[in-house]
Amino acid sequence: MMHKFRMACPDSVAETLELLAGMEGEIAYLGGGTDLVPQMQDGRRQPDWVVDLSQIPELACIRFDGERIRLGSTATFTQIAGSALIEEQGRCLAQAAGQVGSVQIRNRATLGGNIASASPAGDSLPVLLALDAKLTVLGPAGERRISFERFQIEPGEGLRRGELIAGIDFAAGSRGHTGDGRHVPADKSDFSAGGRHPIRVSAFGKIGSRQSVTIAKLNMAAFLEMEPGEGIVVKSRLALGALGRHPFRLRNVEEEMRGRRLDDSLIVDVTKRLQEVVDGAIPGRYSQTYKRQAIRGLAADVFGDLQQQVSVEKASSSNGPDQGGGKEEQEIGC
Amino acid sequence: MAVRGNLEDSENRHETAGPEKLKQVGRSYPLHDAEAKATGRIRYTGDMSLQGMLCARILFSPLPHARIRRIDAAGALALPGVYGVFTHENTPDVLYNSQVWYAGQEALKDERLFPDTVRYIGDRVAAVVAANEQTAAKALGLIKVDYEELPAVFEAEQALRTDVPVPALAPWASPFFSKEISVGHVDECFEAPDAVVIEDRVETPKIHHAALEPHVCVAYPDHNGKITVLTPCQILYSVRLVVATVLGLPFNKVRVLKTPMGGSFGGKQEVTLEPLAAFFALATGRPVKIQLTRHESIISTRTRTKTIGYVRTAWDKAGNLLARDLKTVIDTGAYTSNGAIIGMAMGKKAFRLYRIPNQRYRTESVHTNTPVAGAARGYGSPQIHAITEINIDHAARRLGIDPVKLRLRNLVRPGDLDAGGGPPLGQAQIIACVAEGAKAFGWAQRRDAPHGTGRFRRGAGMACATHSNGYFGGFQDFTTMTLRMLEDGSMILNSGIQDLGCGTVTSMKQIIAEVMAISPDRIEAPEGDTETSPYDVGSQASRVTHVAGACALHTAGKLKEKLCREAAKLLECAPDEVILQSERIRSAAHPEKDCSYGEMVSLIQEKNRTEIIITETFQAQDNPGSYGADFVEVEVDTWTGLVRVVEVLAVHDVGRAINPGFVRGQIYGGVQMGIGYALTEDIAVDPVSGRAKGDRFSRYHLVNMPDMPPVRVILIEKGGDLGPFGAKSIGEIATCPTAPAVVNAVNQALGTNLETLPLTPERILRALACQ
Repeated sequence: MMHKFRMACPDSVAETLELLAGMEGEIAYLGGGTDLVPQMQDGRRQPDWVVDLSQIPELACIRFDGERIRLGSTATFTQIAGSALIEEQGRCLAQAAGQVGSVQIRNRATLGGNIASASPAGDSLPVLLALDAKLTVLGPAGERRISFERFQIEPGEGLRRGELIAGIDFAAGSRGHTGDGRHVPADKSDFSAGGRHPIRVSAFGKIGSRQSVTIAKLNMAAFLEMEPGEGIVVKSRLALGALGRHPFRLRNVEEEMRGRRLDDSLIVDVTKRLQEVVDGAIPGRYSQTYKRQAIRGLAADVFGDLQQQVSVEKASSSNGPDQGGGKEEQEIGC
Repeated sequence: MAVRGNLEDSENRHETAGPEKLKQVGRSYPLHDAEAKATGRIRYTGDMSLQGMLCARILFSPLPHARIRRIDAAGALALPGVYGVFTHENTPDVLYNSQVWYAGQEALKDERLFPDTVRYIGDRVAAVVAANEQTAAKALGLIKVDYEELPAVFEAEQALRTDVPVPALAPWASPFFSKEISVGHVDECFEAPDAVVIEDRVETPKIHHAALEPHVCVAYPDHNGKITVLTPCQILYSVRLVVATVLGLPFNKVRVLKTPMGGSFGGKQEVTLEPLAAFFALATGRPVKIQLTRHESIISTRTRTKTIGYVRTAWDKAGNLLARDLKTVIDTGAYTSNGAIIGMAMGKKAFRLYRIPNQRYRTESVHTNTPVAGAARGYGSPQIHAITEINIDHAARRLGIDPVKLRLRNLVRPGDLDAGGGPPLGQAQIIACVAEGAKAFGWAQRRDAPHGTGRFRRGAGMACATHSNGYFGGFQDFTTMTLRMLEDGSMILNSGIQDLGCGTVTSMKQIIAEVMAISPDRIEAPEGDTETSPYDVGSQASRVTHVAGACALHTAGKLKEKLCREAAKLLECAPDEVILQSERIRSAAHPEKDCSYGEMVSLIQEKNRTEIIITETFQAQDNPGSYGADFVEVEVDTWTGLVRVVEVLAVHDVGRAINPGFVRGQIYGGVQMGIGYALTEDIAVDPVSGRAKGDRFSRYHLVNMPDMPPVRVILIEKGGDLGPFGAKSIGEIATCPTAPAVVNAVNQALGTNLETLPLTPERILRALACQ
């Protein structure tokens, strides 16, 4: 049964903020509605106002500003999964987006909505940790920028009344970009000198009860930056989901991976550590036994994917650096 | 799409050519309402809105066993728009059984509209009838119920233990039903010194039918005290029986109409919402609709029985099946429903698949404080075949004999009798199914292929099954139909048929069209209406094509005789000289005096003063077995425990496919349901709380299209039994061999002996850890 509510359909962020000033009571933002509408139908949420964000063009874009990939919060998973830009610059996000729910859900559901819903098993969430994503949050008090990690765990840093997630951004992850926002000029001599650009790869995997349309029992995202010559891990970010209220980074494991080659022995060691992480995260839970075993399969999938990407990157590095070519066409809605 | 749906009709059909060339039978016409369904124009019951219609919502028990001390409905009644609140205090206390299908049928009656003691989470506590859904739902929240909690039992075998005090669920002891069928000298065979004895305990889960359309019903009263019930059901006449009994109305004051079916699979084979809607309509004087949510359909309607099977087989070294000792413990849940007869339905199948000279079958049915079991596609057949076919493969492993060879040695042959005393098996073509299937599947190569030693292991498995063709030999089985030809040559079949989406309407048309030399689209065959249609037993027991189809054939035959007899008078020839061809009629002697069917019917009315109409009752006189064998290849991820079904070949002995497209459709769906039964589907009642864990689709996992393997179908069509053109059933048997075939393939891949369904990743990893 749907509670009575008022609805606003702004078509710009400015208008949204203007409307917001005059609203009283609980406000719910409508992205794709795939979580909100069922919640309202069965009475779990009874907002006084529903503000539809889906008609605001500036919130639906996916673009590259030369340093960072910027997604509007209402970019749908279908758009993200099909975006050549995301595939190129943050592959794990494209992979996760393609595995959220069903085709119908992906057509409606948005990245911002996934963040706001904060399901423990939300597929995009470990990805945002692995990409070290930042959020732009707008509200009555203006704009604030915050890392996704802090946003989801730090008390008081989550959404406050009236606030909406406007955008998500992360450092471009392809070769040719430092990943820290500094653009490395694609200097031919630099490249021919043996490929000093780091190789950056990322991957996402999940285990559910079936191949698709499944809620993750475990999900994982990994980002690796490799020194190109010897294939040594320089930097990594690893995040696990569905093991507690929020997905979390595995900084100890990341630290242990630094300086090592991405070979099978690394995967064996990481798997062992992941099993310990499961044991520590859900001790005594019924699902512990299964998850500590199944994470081996998940690790093999994710790291196997990373290995494969690294070997492809190495093979293609003789063809010149990729600059995220044709990025004009890759951008959506901006 | 994984399923091959557009095969030519001639492909993969092994027929014995009949003497005559069939024009309509054997063609794949689409479902009569396929276009309306695909374009959204069809009006399902949930789409219906009648003037002044009210909505009812039901308050379901949150407790597994409790006496209702007090219900305070004042708050709900005070809400504007509420027309009534119904509880055990103001509704009939007439007890009924939801699965009886004929007047006078013996069955334990333990259900009533609203009980004063709720027996499971999902039992009916109260209902609100209100102007709309929202008001009804809001009012539900205002009903205050004071419960006195009672101890509960959730496990069938716990209900059987005498050393543990079990709360009295019903006036009957536990088990409330037990029976034994025995032939030969079973115990002696197991004592023989050289017998190889294979023993298993197989457990099958409670599952949800998962029809796309949840349970729904509309009822409305008229000015003369008649109640009309609109329901997408399988059993119009059972609905009439139960509604009339509970409401105390004459049968002719209850009219039940079959509405378009949005899926049933046995879930709508029992009377669930209809007496409630009828009572509310009578009490309020308004049309009333009840529509359940998915969650409510899962917990409060019907499930497949949870069944524990103990099976022991005795073999000689050569692989001859000497004896079998079978026992089933059936958890029928909180109310009896079909809990007694389903045990017998299971047992009967055990005597109709293999030649087993010595066999004993025992069954015990118990109540538990869990969702109510009842009819579910196969009616016990998937349960018993899971139990027995897993055991056959276990035996094959122990004997070191290939499972196909072991089965071929022991399977029944065409013309065999039922060792258990049931009707003869008829043209039982299971050997052809297995032999053809093994060849087409490449069984030997796949079975011998290496399983792999790494993370992924491959395996191949197969299983056989049999199912019935109606009630003959058990219960009365007959159908009456009235067939007419109108003045323009078009036809109307008036019968009590209920199309479950399987194609009954179109199949009947094809059968009649074949006899009458007419196009099927010139025939109207509306579904049943208890006020105007002749009696039909129901769309159950896999009887529709075999028995109702035979009735259509015989009725059309009689109509044709009458048409020829009357036409002969006008054509001045003998009746057997009248020729019907392409909707035209003439005499052999004067082919030039040729007229259309419509012209002839009009002439007959004018000159002979009669109508071309026949009412015919057909009584079933055989109940041959339908047979099927599924061959399955799987790949198991030994790290995550997930199973991928790589390919399925389903071979079915259907006698004759009236509409091969429908037959394949049934098989594709049956395979899908069977894979779910083997791997993922389980309502999973928590043994501590009694709450169903799989009570919504996010936690109840059906096999969806991305997980569906390619399914190949071979039809064996050798005819020979008394169905129309030799046709036998497919709707239920389609799902019977699949689950054990999948389980057997997984066990072959892993070298395990998994026997608790479904084979969840957790169970698979546990079994691997024990190796």
